[in-house]
Amino acid sequence: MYKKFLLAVFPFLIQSEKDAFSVFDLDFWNYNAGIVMNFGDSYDDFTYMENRMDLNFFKNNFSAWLQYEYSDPPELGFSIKDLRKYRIEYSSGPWSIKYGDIYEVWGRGLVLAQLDDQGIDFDNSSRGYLINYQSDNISVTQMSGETVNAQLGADLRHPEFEFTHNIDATNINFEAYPFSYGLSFLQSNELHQLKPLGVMDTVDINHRLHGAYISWFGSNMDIFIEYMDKQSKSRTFQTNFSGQEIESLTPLKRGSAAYFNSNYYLGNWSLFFEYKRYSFDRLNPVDTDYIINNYGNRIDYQVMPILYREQNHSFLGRAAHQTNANDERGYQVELSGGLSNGFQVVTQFSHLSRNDTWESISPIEWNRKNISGLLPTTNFSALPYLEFYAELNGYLLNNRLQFKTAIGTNEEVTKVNRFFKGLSNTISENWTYTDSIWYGEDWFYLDSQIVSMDTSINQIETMLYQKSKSFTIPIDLTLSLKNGYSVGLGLAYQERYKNNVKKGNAGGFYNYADSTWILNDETNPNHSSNETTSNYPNETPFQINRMFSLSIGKASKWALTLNYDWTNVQEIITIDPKYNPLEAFIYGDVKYFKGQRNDNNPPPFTKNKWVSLEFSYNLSSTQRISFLYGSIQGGLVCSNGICRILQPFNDGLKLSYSAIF
Amino acid sequence: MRNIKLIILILSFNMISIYSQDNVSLGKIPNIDLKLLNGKKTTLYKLLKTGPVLLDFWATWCKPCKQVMKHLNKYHNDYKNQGLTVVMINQDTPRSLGKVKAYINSKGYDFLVSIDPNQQISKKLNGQIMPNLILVNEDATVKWRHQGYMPGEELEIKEQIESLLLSLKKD
Repeated sequence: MYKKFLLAVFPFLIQSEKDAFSVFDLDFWNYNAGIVMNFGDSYDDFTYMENRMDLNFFKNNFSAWLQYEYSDPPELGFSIKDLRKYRIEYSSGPWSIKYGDIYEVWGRGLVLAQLDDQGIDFDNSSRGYLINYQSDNISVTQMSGETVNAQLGADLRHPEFEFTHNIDATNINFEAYPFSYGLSFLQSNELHQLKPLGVMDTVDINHRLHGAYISWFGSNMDIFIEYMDKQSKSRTFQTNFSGQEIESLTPLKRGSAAYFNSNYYLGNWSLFFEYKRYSFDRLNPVDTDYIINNYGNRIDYQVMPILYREQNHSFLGRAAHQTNANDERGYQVELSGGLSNGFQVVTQFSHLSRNDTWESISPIEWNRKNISGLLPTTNFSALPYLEFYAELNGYLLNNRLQFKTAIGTNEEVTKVNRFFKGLSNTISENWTYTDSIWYGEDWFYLDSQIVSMDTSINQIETMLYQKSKSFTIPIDLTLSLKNGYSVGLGLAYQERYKNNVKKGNAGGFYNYADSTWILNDETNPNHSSNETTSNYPNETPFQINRMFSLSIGKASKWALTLNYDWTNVQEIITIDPKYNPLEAFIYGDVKYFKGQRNDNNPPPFTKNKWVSLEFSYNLSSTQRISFLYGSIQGGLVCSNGICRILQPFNDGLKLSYSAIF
Repeated sequence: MRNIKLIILILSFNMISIYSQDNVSLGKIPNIDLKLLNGKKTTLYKLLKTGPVLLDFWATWCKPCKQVMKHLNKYHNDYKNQGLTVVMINQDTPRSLGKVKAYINSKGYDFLVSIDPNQQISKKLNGQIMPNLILVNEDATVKWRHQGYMPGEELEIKEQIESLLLSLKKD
């Protein structure tokens, strides 16, 4: 009831200056508010509506935050028509207390990092309380609350699974400039939803995380180090004779994470280095996908550094590595600096891999070998990821033309199905025909049976894996004209390869029971094959993506942007349901405007192309409205390193409005 | 259906009424703790003791945020003698927080940079849409707000700063 009341008084709180009453009197409160409204309706029956209103009130030591959401359905996530978030805060001297939705980040997030990103439907806040004591050199935080984290299943728009965490956590931070130290402890009781496996569809888990971090700030360099340890136990409950419920904990998994970051400065040049080693659950390389029923691993509170570049270009974002926070190590180096002409150069290199190399024992068994030392490996069985990015940006034409050009490449082994190198048993079968007929001028064999099997020991080298590679060149130009006008041009070219690689002298195991191999050529055990096939449909060797965008705008007023996205082959083939007038206009198709085209049967030349036109208008400096018409290609969308696969938006209209006041 | 109508009514009411007002009262800004890139701490109200403050929310992956930063650094240096301080509040999460200082140093920027990895400050000030500029007077009242950036808008930012500094001189 109180939520409806708040909603009802909301406009009066904002608009009324003298007529409000009691604590809703604006003269009593300091406040700010924000509205975000998104609406989309596409031709393929995808309609969404998201409305969020944020309200902040402040008075002396007291502050409050309310967020009401009416989303039915949102673009991504569950429908909600309720007070989504709230928090009340009170501070007095060194003490502060919060009640409601808590967002905390400790260290670099190895133990706890709570974020809200509606763009990818990620929110891991906890609803509860937080008490903090803070003096000049010490800060102690204790928090307790509950979080419900959602996980997508087969449906890419609506979450299917829920993981509920009840957490208690404490953080102590010491400041002794230039040093800073921190200690963290977090305990979570998780109710983990499973994919149906008969009767049991949830499991209780207890997680205990201990972490420590230290940072040092110097004039020419700084260092940050964090380490955490995690233990997960299965929780079961039994009732004793007196009817009391007794909790029993059974060790499930143990893991740890280490992170190091250092920056070195020389004039306008910076050398950035970071290293990570995360080990919570080491699955064999076939089980690379996140599995709902594999629990007790990294928990959703742990939002840790990813160590590859967070790209803001959609092409580079689509080819981004999807981090394995349960089992990954690696480093990232970035050198950036300014040249004498004002240009800036950025070069970055990242190398990641699993913590182990893997060897096939049988089709379902793998032998794990830990990588020696601290660095990642390029051995393909450890699923290595290599990334290189170089960028040049700056201004030309007396600071009127801003440019950015870059080159981004990456290479990754995404899955290993088979790998073995060494001496092993091989088997060959000898068959004979048992039935045949004479037809025409030749014998035709109708049946056969095995007469003998020969086993021997041979040197085997066999591998079967999936590999992806991409090469991207984005270019952005923005020319400032007179009277506040500007023209922007964006161009991008990308090649993406996704291949199955099959190498070696053996084609696979004889059966599931043992590790006996079948040679490619029984008469010549040394005969080795090397076969690479494309994963794209229709044996297309690689994907070519091109993007063109043109925008014209007037500062503080409006902007018009045309986007054109083209590919030669889609990874997941989607059907364009409609031929819209914007497409006809862009392709110069006069027949459409003469009524000689069928709207529901787009001509072939529109295939694999997405065109959209967006107009945005600033109603005031704090209010903006935008309309988008056309189609947007789906794909991987990453924000802050967290990725979601978004479905395409076909032949529709999007409307967005945002305001702050 | 009734709820939809209510939402539309509220949004329309606010949109029209705000749009119709030339000078919307933006109220007073709360004091906020600022954790600086160099490891030191300060508060907004401490900074306001030396003059007005221009706050801006940004992230390393935000393209328009980076475009406006060059101009904001210039205004920071041009008007610091008149008391202006530009504070850039970074929104990068722990996943990429380590790169913030390297980026600022390589650009040679002089303004203050604060980190807000859990978006506590941006939530309090409704700064989620980036870039998001808030010009704060010495008495902690918000004189001007702006969201987003298009080339050419740096002139409006400059006008707003100069207007505020001029009004302070007159006082």
